[in-house]
Amino acid sequence: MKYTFTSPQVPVPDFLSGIEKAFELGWTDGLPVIPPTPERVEVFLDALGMDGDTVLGGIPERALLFTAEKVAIAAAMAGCRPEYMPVVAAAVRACSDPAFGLHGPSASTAGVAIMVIVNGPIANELGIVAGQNCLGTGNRANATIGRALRLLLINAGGSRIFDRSCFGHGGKFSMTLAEHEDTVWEPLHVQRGFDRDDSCVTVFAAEAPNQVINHFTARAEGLLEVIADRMRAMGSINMGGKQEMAVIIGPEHQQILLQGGFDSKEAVQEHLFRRARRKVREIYELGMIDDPSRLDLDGEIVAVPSPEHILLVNAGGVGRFSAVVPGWSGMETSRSVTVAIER
Amino acid sequence: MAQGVADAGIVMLDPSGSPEAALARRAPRLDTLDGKTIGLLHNAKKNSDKVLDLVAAVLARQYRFSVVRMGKDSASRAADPEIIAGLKRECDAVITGVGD
Repeated sequence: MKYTFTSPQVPVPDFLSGIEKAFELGWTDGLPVIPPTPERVEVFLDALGMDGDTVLGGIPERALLFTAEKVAIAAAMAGCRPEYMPVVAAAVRACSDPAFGLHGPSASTAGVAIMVIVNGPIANELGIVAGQNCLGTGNRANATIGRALRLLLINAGGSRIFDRSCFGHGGKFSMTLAEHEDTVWEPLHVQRGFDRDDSCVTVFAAEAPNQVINHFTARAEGLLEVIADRMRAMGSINMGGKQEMAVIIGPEHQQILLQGGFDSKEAVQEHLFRRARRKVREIYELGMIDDPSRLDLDGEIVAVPSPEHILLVNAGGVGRFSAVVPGWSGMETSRSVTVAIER
Repeated sequence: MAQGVADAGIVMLDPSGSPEAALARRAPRLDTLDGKTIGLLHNAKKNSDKVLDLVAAVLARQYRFSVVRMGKDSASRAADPEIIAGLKRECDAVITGVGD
């Protein structure tokens, strides 16, 4: 062995009993994991090119650190290919940024997942899918990169104690996608100041995607109105008025928007920002505001505080759909974070 | 599977644990609350201060202690270092928790 691992070693008779033992020890997300043997984990550490004790992040409120060794173990268990490691490591670094505030979204009763958006050339190189079923099943990179992050949280991140999700959702197994970048719209990472040739990871504390169907309109403003209506849904966490929100525009919907003159993401963000809001009074009358004295009842509550707080992502396969992904809490507690992938 | 392989077995690396957490120690427990100063640190959630006041009121039926009240800015963030330092300076023990 090239590395001296510090993690305790659990002996088992064979591979299959290792899978069962992992369930017994609470190491899994409910699905079988690949037993993380030292030989296998070493391959993942090699792919990262780091010593096992290198600290990639952590949750300071829980006095927990994420070492490269634990990240490699999680990725091996998740079924990643070793070459996914730079993406997994970048996601760990992004989540550990104080602005993301990992403790909150990984503990909250709101049960959010961590959406991982991968931009830049690495997405194609690794087969991270932006198209059909990108947030669903069937693609190894999409399924296992997010899963590695979740298994890290479950084990090294203390989720077995801290995760108090009321429901949780399927995205907590994995919620990883790439973006269609071959259009006139700027990719998310370019909007955030990176170059097109940079490969980046953005993490976002995310509710389950709400699919928006509109098969028939050819009018861009009408389509955006349907999307805005979902963004301002009364029971949405975003009606707290302080959250980011991701809006994923499907390619067929994007065509309608382009034909309608929305030739930049900024134009779409601006339009949605203006439309995705409600009268404070409507919310107050349903008893959803505890202290109306601090609010102007004739004023408006916005689904996002400003246009740039919409993470606009161009993804999806065939079909006239988009998706709205509500965020979590307020931006003083968790903001999306974009980091460059180091490799 | 060949007999020898099964006999040899495999080992798995434990994915849990953290070197920093392993160093954490619990503070020594108090033997009584009588005559002590008890900090109440609310977590900024709605009514969390009231929950702690109720806890203190229940304890006050049995013990005589003084109370220092403090609050975090955000339920999802650790308390500011100044708050921690203040509690450490002024209190013998602290009661905190999630109220919502």
